[in-house]
Amino acid sequence: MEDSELIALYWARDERAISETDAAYGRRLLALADRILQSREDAEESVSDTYMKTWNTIPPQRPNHFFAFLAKICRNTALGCLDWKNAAKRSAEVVSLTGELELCVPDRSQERKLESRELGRVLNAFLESLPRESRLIFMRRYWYADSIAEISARYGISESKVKTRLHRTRRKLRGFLEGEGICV
Amino acid sequence: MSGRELFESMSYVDERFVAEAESASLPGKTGLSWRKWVPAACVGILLFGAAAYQGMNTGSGESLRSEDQVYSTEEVETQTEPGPQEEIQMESFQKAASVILRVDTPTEEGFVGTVWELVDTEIFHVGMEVNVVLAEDCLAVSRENASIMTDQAEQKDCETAQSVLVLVRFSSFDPESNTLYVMFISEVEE
Repeated sequence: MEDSELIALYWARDERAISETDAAYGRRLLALADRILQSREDAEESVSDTYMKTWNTIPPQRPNHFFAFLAKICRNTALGCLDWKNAAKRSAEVVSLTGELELCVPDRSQERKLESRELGRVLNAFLESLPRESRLIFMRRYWYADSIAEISARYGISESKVKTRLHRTRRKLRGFLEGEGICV
Repeated sequence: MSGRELFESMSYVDERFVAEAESASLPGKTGLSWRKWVPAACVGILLFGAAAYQGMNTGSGESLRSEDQVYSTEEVETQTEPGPQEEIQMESFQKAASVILRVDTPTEEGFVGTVWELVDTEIFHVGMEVNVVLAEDCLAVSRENASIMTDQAEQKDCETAQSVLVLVRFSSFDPESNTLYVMFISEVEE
């Protein structure tokens, strides 16, 4: 079923919308939540919550990129469920991801403090400035929480190239955030 | 700011970037799917070559020869000897497979390099990164050269190291790990 048809089901308040969404995107959403939570049970719960939130959001919304819209809700929901202390104990992938991003954090002595939403807008500007290849790799790693091996397989490039590209992009991000005078 | 806050803030990036990362492929890259076919394609070509070669020797390939070609008895006997098919494949592969690489990073077994120029093989593309493993029976002088080259690459800065180019002839290529097993190596002028 096409995205426009799925969205039409939500607008018509037709409950098939949820089962059809699950058939179209359930597996990918589950994989995303599972990568963040590393718990099948919690991931399934996050995906169910995603469908409920989508049901409550459409209408009035009419997303342009339906999967991205769903994935965004799913990512937020999964992060909301994540027990960071427990994840740190388990050395979960998501903890190593935040560790990598820690390297992008500018000097804390800087003054400007931003809310997550505003920081998201700054990140938009940063992503816009990146070459497409770097942007795709960066997004797969820090948005979808893909492993280096998964990114390498997805784009048909070597793991060392993925690592190098991520390293350079993180360095650029640090410079970009410093340029914006940001401290969260 | 912490890495965690930055990671969580990623949730607020524009949906078009999220959608792009989900659906787009890299320019000039087709993912790994094509790689699955490379070994099969190579085997297919080699089997076809071997079959044609055998066909010529058993008489069924007579039509492939020009009329004025004359084989000596010794030559015919040599050609009709049933040698292992693998040897025929390896011989033809070795003859065909040479490539010029830029030496990037030395490794224990050889070095990591970038395909600089295609010589007589189409299985790579320029700019592709490969792991080079120098075979145990690689020519001694070549191994020594390679060692000198990789040392140079290590000592020089990144810009200078890029100028170290080598011609390699390889016995096999593993597309899964992008590894070349090299039998011969020599430095070339840029």
